[in-house]
Amino acid sequence: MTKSKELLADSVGTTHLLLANEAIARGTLEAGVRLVALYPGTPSSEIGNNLFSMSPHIPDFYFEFSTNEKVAMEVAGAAAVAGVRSMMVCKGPGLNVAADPFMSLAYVGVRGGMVIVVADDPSMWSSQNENDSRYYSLMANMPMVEPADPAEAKSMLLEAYEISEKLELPVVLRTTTRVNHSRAPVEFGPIRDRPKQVEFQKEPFRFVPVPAVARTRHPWLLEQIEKAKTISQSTDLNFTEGEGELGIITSGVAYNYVVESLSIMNLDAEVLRLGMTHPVPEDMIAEFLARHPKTIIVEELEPFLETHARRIAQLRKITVDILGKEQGYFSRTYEYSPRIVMKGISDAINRNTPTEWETIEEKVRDLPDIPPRPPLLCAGCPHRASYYAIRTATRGKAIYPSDIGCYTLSIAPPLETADILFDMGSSITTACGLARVTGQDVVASIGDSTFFASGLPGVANAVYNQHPVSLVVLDNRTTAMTGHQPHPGTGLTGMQQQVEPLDIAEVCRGLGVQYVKTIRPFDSVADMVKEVREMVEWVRENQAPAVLVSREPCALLTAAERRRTGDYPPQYYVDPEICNACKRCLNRLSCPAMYQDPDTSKAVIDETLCNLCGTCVEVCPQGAIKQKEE
Amino acid sequence: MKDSYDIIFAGVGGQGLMLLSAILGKAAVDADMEVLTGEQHGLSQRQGSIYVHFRMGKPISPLIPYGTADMMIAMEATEALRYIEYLRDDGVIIMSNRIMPPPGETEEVALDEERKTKYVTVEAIEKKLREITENIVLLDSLTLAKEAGNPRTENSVLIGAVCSCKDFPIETESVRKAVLDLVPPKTRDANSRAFDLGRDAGGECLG
Repeated sequence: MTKSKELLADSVGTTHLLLANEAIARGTLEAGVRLVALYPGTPSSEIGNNLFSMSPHIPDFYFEFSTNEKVAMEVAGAAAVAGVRSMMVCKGPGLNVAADPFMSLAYVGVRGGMVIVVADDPSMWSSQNENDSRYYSLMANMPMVEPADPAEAKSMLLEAYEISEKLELPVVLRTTTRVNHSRAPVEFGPIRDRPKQVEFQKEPFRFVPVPAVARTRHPWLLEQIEKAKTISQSTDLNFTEGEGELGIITSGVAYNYVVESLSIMNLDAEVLRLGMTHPVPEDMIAEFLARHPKTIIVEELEPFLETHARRIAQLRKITVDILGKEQGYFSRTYEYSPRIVMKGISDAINRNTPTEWETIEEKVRDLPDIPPRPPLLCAGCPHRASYYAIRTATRGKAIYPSDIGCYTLSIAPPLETADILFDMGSSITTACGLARVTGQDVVASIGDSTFFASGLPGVANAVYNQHPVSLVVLDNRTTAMTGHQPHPGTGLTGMQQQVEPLDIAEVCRGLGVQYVKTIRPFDSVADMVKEVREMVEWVRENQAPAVLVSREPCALLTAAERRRTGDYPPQYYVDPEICNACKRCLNRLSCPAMYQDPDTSKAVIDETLCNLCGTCVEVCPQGAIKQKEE
Repeated sequence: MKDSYDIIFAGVGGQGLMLLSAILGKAAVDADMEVLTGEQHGLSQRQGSIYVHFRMGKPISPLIPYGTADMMIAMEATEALRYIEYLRDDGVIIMSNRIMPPPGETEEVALDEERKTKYVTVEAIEKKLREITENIVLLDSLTLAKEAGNPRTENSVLIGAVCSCKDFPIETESVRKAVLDLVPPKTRDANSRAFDLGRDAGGECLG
């Protein structure tokens, strides 16, 4: 609705309440970014969602949902090499996918400014690991900045483009989930014009790193990072505040927790806040350590700044107690909070934590057990029907490689159809490895967006090497988990143009898969059970890969469409006269819209939650679940 | 020591916590207050337990320190208990009596042949919450929303009740304006009625 309109407003000096991700989307306008390419990934997703809504309204601007992060890095990297400002956005594991071009980009450098936004996910709210992307900057020798809040997310983005153009190097803007999903007032600055076109100036002995070229570029890169140290030493992004004998070095949102903790603990300390964290300001840190014989390092995840501080202290022969993760005062896992930071600081200076916590905990200890509420497939999710069919057809005995998407939630009982997962696209390839050494049936599943992102090489591999694997492509017509972005199978582009969609079944046939079928799980779950069984038997007989496309739109898309049109099918209900409380629907489907009547033990459908898929109708052996008359 | 008014929102993915956060945030910014929130987006929206840390005034960090929230707004009753350690002593709880049993709980209830495993009840939750605070507004939000003309206006019922709290730092009409600015235009009238019903019901509870 109006958020993208708000972000487009040419209203300098006005204040807007924005998520950091929205502030970054706004920042692309103020930085005059000509091209943005990304593959969606939470916690960075809202950046792309907003640019998608904004893109047709920005002159001389190009935005795309690339097929994956490696592709996005290359598209954006080339645009910056050509001479315009560009941006690539990804989540932490997305940078792993894009690591190859990332490393080379540092060698060849860029002519226009380029910023790579990478959103790490401490606590793994929606990621398969919490790898600390700061080490990528260190490894590639690419400068890095780390904002702590939405206002800084935008201001540092603008600063990052300046640094990038000064050094002719891409700059990493690294965030964490807590920053991406913080909302705060942000002041708008002027929108900068973008060039319509630039002419590509050839310079192959810079931009084609064959060995002879690469050997000249590595020393160049090291020279640039030396220049970057000078910037880090003088930039306002790194600053000290407060006074005290105790020193604290911190960065990102941990800085806010430190300030809040000092206030609550009534503790005096001087804080060195690092906004530019690669390269670190060596002299500044050395002087700070020399001033504070006791210095605590507060940073989430790995001891990145801590290791730098220890290195600098050793090099400069500074005698200082550096207190952090190495001694166990702070954890290397999960995101921090004011409480965790208060505890760490208290332990490091041998002080008691604020006492009221114990009384709070005392009270909470007596609370009744609350049932856990993990994320689950939505009511009306087509994946529930598909997995019910897969499990029924294979009696739970096959191996079920899974992939990255909502459908990984099928790990939970009673569906239990996720047995192995590494990364995007690994369903197909792990299936290949498992099929070769186990002799068991292997039924892998992958979503439509993931299929295009990283599934294709796996399918080609399965065909080429003739792996006996069954693959179900769960085609829900969107990139659901990250907030419904389009993908090649939908045909809608980042510029909101409708082009010819890529057809998954045709793509599989084109790649040489001999057995390809498409089914609608909501047409008949029983038919899908039959289809899965047939596919698995075909694979056994033919010792080659087979694909079943299970095509049904995401329940949230269907619900939104119904809200738009006002056209609802009749409600489902359990007829208590017929229901014999066998609980098969409850035990087999685990649908959030169903529960048990506490008195009769019969199933009940919560009409306010039901998304009208009708899967339960087929699962009920009594025929007790019915649809109301119109 | 603390220079902010802090609210912890609790609910189930899909209940509209993010919109609620945006609405109160807009009302606060319009009233010239600073706002800083810590929200949950993404995977947790799939029927999972979610929270928002909402801070206004002069907040320092996006997360409320343990035991210092001035208010809790719970859109689902069991979720009020899950995050109760954030509420300060005698803080206010604005909560729906709505319970959405997670399928995991249903599974345990369903599998217990002896029928000893029971669902958590609103009565049990309220009893426990009263050990922390007496300032509880327990609303039949769905019924009130239906009364307002649209069952999807439960959140406006709760926001209306928020405005009935004496120490809530934003003017009622500013909050109503933010609600009406951010809900879908077609639902404005129903949301306005829901807001009033919630405010009146809240006023009665808090006296």
